[in-house]
Amino acid sequence: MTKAVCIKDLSVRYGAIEAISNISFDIEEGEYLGIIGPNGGGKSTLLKAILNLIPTTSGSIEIYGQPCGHMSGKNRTKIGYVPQFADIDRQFPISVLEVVLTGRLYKGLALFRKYSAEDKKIALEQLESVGLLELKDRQVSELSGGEFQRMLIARALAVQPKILILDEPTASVDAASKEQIYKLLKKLNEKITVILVTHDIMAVLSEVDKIACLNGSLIYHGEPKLNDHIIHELYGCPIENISSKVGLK
Amino acid sequence: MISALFKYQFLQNAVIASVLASIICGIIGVIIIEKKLIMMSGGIAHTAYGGVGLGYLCGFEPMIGAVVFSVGAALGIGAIKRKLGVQSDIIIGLFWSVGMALGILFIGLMPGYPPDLQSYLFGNILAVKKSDLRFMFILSLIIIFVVAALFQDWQAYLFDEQFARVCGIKTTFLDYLLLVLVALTVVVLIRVAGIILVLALLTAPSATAAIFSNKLKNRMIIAGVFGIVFCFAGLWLSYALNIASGACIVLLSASCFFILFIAKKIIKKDLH
Repeated sequence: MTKAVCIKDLSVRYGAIEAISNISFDIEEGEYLGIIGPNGGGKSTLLKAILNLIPTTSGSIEIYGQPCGHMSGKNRTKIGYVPQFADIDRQFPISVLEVVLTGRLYKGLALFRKYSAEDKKIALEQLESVGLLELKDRQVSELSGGEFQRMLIARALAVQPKILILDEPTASVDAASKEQIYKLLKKLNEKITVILVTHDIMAVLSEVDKIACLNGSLIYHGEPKLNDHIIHELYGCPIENISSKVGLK
Repeated sequence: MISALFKYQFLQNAVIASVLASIICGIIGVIIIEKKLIMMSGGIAHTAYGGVGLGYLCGFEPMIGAVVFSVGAALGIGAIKRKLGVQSDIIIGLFWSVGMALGILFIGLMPGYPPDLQSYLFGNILAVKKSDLRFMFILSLIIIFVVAALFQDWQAYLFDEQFARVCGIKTTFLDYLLLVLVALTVVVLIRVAGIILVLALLTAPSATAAIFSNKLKNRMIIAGVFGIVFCFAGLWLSYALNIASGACIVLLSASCFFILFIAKKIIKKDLH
């Protein structure tokens, strides 16, 4: 099996605070991985390290055998990223299609660039795959939370990635959209690797192939089954307390 | 006023300066509103005062000093924020006051009578010279070129900087480039509106345009048109009533913004 992502002894420090320490695990090609853990447990830090958005302190991350710091040109297109949408200004004056097309910009700086017919075709295909084709000319300010999130997924897919990375894609969307997003991810996973960071423990256990539990260090990595020990390590309380909160049986 | 316009060179210059300034403000104003850089622009504008002072003290063109100081401030604020992680409004506040203080210090050190700084602080569109116009024209061309040539990149960067970075767009470069553009814009506007009134000219037309369009490119064009309307109307008022032109333009554009903003709220019936 090919390894999509290979993380070895990874540590990231912010000043004196160690956000993640000594994490090692591999993500196989075609895997559907859920990363869970408490706030401040280092989930987002790990994502940002994989995306090369923050410097790592020690250890290494390889994407398809190449160090992630050296991704450029073609290799960039291996990862599609869906950020937390709380970080994005939803009033920004831009149309849905224009947003998805930004996923086709990957050549560094170029003067007077225009999207090619192929770029447009790819963008429209991705909009169709997330079910937003008829909204392509809408302004993003007119979208619901769930539609906005699916648009961000379409944008990441427009990169034509081999790995899709999502940061809390179901936070602050309604239950119907949540279900729609999980269905979509399951379908996408037939072709590409999916890495999902989430608070939604219940969904993760029923959806993903593997989970990684992070609380500073890697508590558990493997089959999506949680036991008392893991929950205690992650959240510092017994499983009953968590399950009553998230509806876990 | 029309006959006076043909008769007096200074009025013609004022009209050309208004058009140039409005086009630039339309483009940059829309960007800085989206990027929430209005106070940053204020900081850069006031730092320029130090450059004006240094120009007078050392005997070179004060506008050159303003360019050097404002570009320096833009890069300085950007680098300190990025490298040291200091909160940006602290740095802006410091650059703001230090720039003003240096300006006053340099003027104070000058031998002889102090020059008229009123026109740099509050602007005097009626005192724009031919050489200023040439200067403004070149800067406008640069700004239009840089924004138009990289429009797709700007759009992606403004909407979601992190995603743009993951895609391989040079966002750090765009960051600094934007700050330099803001600095150049501010310098262009100093002649027209003065350091203190620059902010209103950057904000009011763009904010007004946002009421009418939710497309980035259209906002820039509409903001330019509003800028021209505000400037001409303000000029006419100041000519007719014989009051300061910069103040007229600003008061007019700010009141237009508020009236239109409230009118839209009433029409859409979402007053709270």
